[in-house]
Amino acid sequence: MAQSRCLILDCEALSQLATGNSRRQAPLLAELKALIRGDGELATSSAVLAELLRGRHDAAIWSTIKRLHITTVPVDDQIATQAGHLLAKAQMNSEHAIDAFVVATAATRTPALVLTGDENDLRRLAAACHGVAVGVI
Amino acid sequence: MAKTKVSLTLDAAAIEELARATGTPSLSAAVTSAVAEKLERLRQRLAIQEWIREWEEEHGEIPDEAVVAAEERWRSLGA
Repeated sequence: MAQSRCLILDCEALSQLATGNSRRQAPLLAELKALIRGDGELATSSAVLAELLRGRHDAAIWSTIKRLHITTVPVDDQIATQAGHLLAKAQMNSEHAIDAFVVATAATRTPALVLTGDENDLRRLAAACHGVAVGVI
Repeated sequence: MAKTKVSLTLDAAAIEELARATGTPSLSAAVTSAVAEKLERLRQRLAIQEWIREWEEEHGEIPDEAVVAAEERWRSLGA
């Protein structure tokens, strides 16, 4: 039997969903359609909110999160620890901490696909995670 | 929150696994939590379907090839 799937939005993906134009949103729509063809969950990391919420687009971002019932997964001790280990394995520094939180969140909800606008860094981090793939929007 | 008493016939192995996975001795709490999670997933699914419907009405339908390609990626992940 196929497992439940989880689509994780990084900063760029959540931003496009909330404020992007139709051309930029179209690839996200395809991913969402595929997600709900299975038993899927749409989620993001609460760490993404720290990167994204700067005042200007807060209302649009919160409106999208509420409207689509996007799960915001908190960074707990388990995710924080795994994020640290992923950074170490990928030989990346803490500048990439939020990316690492996103990938570590995905690793707790496999099979998971992280949607991003920054595939290189996320692919390096996800390389050590079985069941986590990275998709570009 | 108001509670109601119900009589259910459930799969024994699934209930045992649920109790073990949630670590709670209260079967009611474990089942309530599982039902709440399922409900939230259903709400999310309906909300996404509605958003897609409105988006496609305004901007046109997403080509099925793009959805099939996304589906393929899930299959390769075992989902």
